[in-house]
Amino acid sequence: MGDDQLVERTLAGDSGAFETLIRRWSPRLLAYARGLVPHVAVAEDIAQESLLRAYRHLATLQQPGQFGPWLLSIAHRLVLDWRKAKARTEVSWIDSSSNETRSIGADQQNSQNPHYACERNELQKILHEQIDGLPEELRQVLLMHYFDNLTYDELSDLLGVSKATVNSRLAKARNLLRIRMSAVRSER
Amino acid sequence: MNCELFHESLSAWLDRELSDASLLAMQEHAAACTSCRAAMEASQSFHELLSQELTPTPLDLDRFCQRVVRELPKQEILLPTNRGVLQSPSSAEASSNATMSPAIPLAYMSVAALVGFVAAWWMASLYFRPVVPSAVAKSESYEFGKVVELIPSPSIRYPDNGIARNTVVVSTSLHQHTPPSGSDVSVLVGCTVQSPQNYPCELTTHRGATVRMDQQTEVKIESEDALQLKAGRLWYVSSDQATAEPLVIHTPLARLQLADAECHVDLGEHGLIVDGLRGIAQVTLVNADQVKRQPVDVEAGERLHVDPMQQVSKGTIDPLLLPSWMDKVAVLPGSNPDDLRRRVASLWEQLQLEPKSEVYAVELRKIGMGCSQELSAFVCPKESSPRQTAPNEQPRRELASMILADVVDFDSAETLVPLLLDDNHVVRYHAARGLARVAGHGSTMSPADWQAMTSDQCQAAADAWRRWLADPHHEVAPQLRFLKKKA
Repeated sequence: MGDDQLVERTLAGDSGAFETLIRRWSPRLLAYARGLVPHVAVAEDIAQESLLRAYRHLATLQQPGQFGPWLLSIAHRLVLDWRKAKARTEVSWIDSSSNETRSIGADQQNSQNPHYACERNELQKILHEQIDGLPEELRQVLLMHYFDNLTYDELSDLLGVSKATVNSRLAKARNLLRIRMSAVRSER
Repeated sequence: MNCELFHESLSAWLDRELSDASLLAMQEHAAACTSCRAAMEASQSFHELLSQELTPTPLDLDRFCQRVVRELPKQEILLPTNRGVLQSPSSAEASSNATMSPAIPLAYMSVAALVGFVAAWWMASLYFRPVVPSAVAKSESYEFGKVVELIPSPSIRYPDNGIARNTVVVSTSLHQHTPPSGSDVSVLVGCTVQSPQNYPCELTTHRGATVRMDQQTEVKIESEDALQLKAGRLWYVSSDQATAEPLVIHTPLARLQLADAECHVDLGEHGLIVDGLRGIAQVTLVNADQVKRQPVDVEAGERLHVDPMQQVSKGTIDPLLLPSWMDKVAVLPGSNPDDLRRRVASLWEQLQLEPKSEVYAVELRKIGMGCSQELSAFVCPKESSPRQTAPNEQPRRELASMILADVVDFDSAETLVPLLLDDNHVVRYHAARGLARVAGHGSTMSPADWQAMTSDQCQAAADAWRRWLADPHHEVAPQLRFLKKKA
């Protein structure tokens, strides 16, 4: 059943139809939010609030077939609101003491070596600082690609850009990151 | 496949997104070209680092969906009224029942009359109350994709001479919504925004850019960054609301800060262009890292040029922060040679830290564009002849000659010909390669070939290229393959 039919059934009072929409769009919605927000928990909250807000305002959707893009745009708005609030409170996602930060690939054996762990923490810190400093469109595609293992096709579909743009943004993100990381590491 | 295409394909190769044919071509090129192979290995190792450090976070989708579904019963779908206002179904039903009920209890009518009286008194007090300077205009946010009617309310007085200003907060995207006919104003999110027929309104994008639209203005939101004026005038409203400067903005890569408010502007082929300002405006450039530059005064009709070499008349942007821009922008003629030398020297230091990085190779070529004269001076310093150059200068000369060769600038040809006689065989090789590229064909000779060539053969090659340069039609390019056979 298409999104438009599910929207109409939801408006007719069938809440099960919206449940189907939730299950259909949650993976992409979460991936989208996680690409914009570094905190996993915050991204999930934003995704949830997007779905609930979409549900409340479903009657205003002019083209029911456009439910997905409409949902993502709601998420985008919420992310911006979150950023404004974050700018006021100055919460850094790089804070390694926070449990909410992105999970880092952990090498259990080596992490027991204090020297290795220290170096690794430093590297992670630099990496995350530099990722945080990337232009938004580059950061988003980079995080979505690595954190959510999304292919070029999936990224292109999700972001509404061509595969060539995805390719170019990823290449730029990596190049920029390499330049900045090598510069920072040589400084320290 | 050439080196440029190879570097362009590296990212797709890392992500296994290449076709079989492209993959094969890359492998063949990597086998033949040592610098590209090194770039490939460096990219691979950085990709592995990222893959290792940015591991996918496990996602419990079922748990998430259940969490949302549990919240659903607490929500209700809001219904739109004929004024575009949303209300809950229960209140909509109540009001509907009230109007349709034939018999309304007397007590209910009394309460309604009382409420009506209080409301009328309140509105009257609002209307006759003096304007409070600090009053804030009514501001509402609308959901994405919603077509809204902006109706100035006569009962509310606004700070700016009683003109109703409605702020429409729009999230942009790229799909279309068709406006219903007859609406006062159509907010076509992601498509076109039209001003109301008879009063101005403000448009705020999600990035914080604010524009005030005059009558009959139509603004097209092309992408997340771009606001394009279609007709009429686009007014830029500074944060203090005291003055509104008309501003024409082209293209969307950087951010321009005018007074205290922000908007997005474009970097044209030759940098940032701002015109249409009335009077003098103070402009602060903010680059992608949010670093603010020194503010500069821009006068009406003046153009603000920014180039990647930071030879900027009014402002500057770090080229490293705008890599996509670098693909389009050439160094403007007249760049400061000292700065260029400093930059090449600095990049050379970086190159030693990270040998043969494709990023630096690309960047160095960009430096070369339009700077053949400066680069030529770098290869052949005027103060000393090539043969007397200090030994530690040789690697830099080789680098500069490589850039000259990669630039494919016809004006560099005259400089390259004498370099065919240079003592350094790598410089000779790059000079020959550059000349071949200028002439439109590839060179099959390696640095080792040029090392093996005698001075007579080098002289013959230089003479052949001089003849080619002297030929007004440049029809017969020297056959270096033939020279190689003779060697």
